[in-house]
Amino acid sequence: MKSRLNTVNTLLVIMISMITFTTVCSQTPVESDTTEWEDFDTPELDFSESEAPVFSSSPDELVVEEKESFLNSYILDPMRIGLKYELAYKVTKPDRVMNNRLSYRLEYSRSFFDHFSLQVDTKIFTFLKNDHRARQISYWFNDNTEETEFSFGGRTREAFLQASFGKTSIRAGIQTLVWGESDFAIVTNEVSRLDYREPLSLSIDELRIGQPIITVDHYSESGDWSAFFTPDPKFNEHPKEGTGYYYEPFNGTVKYQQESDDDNHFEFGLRWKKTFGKSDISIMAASLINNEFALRMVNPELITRGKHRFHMAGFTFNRAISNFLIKGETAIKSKKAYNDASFQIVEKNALDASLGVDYYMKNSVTLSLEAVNYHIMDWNESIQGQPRNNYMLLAALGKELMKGNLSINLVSMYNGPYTNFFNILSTSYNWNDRTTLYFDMLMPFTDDPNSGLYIYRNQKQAVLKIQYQF
Amino acid sequence: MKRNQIVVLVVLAVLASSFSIKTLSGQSAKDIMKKVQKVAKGSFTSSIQKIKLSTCKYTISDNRIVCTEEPRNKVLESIAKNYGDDHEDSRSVSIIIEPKKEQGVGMLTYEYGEPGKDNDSWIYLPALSKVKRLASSSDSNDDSGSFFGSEFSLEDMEDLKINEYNFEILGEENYKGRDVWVIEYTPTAERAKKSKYSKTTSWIDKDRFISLKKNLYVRGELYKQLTVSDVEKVDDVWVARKLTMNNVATRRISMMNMVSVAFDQEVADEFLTTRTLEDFAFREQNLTKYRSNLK
Repeated sequence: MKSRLNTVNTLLVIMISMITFTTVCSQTPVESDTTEWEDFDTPELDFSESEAPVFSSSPDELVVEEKESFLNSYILDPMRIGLKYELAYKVTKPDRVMNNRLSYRLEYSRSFFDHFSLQVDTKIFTFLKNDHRARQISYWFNDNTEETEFSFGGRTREAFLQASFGKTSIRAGIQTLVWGESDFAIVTNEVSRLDYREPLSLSIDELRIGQPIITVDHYSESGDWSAFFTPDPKFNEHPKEGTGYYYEPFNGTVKYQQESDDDNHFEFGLRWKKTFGKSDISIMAASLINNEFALRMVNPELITRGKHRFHMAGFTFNRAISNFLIKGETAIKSKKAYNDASFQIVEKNALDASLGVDYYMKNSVTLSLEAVNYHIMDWNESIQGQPRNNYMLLAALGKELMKGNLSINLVSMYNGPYTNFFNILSTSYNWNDRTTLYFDMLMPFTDDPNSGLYIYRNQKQAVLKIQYQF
Repeated sequence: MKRNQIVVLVVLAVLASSFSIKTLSGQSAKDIMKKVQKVAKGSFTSSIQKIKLSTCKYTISDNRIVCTEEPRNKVLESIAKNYGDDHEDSRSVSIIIEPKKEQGVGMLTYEYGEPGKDNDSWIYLPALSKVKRLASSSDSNDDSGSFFGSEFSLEDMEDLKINEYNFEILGEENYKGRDVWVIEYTPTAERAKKSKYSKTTSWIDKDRFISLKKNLYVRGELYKQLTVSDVEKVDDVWVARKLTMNNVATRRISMMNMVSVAFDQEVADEFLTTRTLEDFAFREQNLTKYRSNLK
């Protein structure tokens, strides 16, 4: 089960790369239309102001500043609404609709009283007929119970207040905290929890779920210092029973019970980051509660889920050399929880690392390669479901066309020693300034039952999305 | 979006900037272009700009260029500051305001005048809540380096490196009521490896040392044409409020409007750091102050 989680974890983070690629990838070359340009008489194109191009909105309008009004200043300008429809179809037998849903996203960012700001990012889903999460509603965000034709869900990624005075900034509220250089792996990026309910989702804004955190950032000559405190850390979300990705390793023969304890389980940590010429370096240390519950078998029919603390010290770096960006990170994690053959908790130290390179080629092509290794120190064969070294190689190729309006990305991951491959084709097209169309293909491959991807080997999907933002 | 795109907003702002000086006879083409560069680069220390970029595919109807599709629009706020005795280095931050779907994407760039030294660039993607460093770009010979998806390429926006071109005065004429030199420049063999263009013809205003028009050629054929208009003096700096880039090869056109601008305002060095990208309250606190000076 742990192995599965690790792999899923990786899959999710791959998705992040798709978004990163799309945004940072170079722009598209214009295809020279030499046959047509010769049709023009050059002087004809030497338009004067009176012959200026006629845009659908008059160019003169473009220079008119919008008047400040309460509605614009406090409501419309700081707000962004996103409406999205998503259809995902599982193409392998038994084929079925996986996602058939609408979502409504509200983002709001507004500063006030010079030193303060409010930032919100929340989303509500309507799961339509045949969506795998369309379950009977017993309460607002429930998707546990019987299948239905219509239900709701939601998530809030951010809802926090920020105060900024001098060199210091404080944020308090629901937020996500992102550390590390890797776009793929979770090496130092251990603080915020993840949403695994749809492990093959490519929606970047749905990957991490916010939780109440207080962060203090101090920007000084000695570097940028960032401290955080999470009073009540939450855990990763997993597929609920009856939904399309649900998997029960014990075939429903065991019950899970929350371990009771009265200990404090807050999290805290500190990161220092500084730029040295062509490099950014950061060092961090944190005391964390594992985002996964530590599982312990009490008897063959009962497994308890407990909070497990571990400590992490990490280091990240990047280095820009011409068209190359080399980046890496490593973290040592003490007393992480694993399970032995009798499903009891075994604490081991772990050493995780990633090393990657981004290469910005001509013609709007970006290539990324990354190697990742999750290493369990003092590993022995009693540890179940986790190899001594769980390693991955990732390759991502991005290409933009039509002046960046069409983006095509390919990501391929190899994971060992339990061999599996996961391939993603992701495309997006900016139809206009408000509407974006997406088409994705998800192709997991594995024949190894030990692989964490094995349970998703038939989840080859085609995904179509349309998003309207204003 | 590409790493170097933002760098050049400051250069853009002064593409047509100059001061009025007496025309000297017998100047070489290179001397003239040096003067154009000198006044453009040295006429201000900091700039604050709000820019709107509109791009569309066009057709010619009744001797007018008319968009055949809804234009793509981008609105940016950019703050830049020059450094060094000759303002050879610069730092700039640009934030996308519109379209809404790209709102909040920010870019920080440090550009260096030192030959061979790559720029430093960072991008902030709200979707990732993360500042990412970008690799530098060494080649401009690539339309991929589009300036925010417009017909302006990065090379179009870059500071002209005088020593990388050969210049020749083709003639003198009157262009739209102003006396101009018509100067042609071609890249040196080394520069040609990086340049999209085989040659450029530029109409230089004799009084203001502004390029009023440029014809850009690829393999000897006209490829794009840049024209500037609405030239005015803001904070004692000449600014072209409107620049139009016409790609005659693809029949696409981009108009860049300087919605509002201010020069030589006090910009704290601290603002030109990655903090501005990720610290919304800090950014808005400073931008509010800078916006109040825009004209």
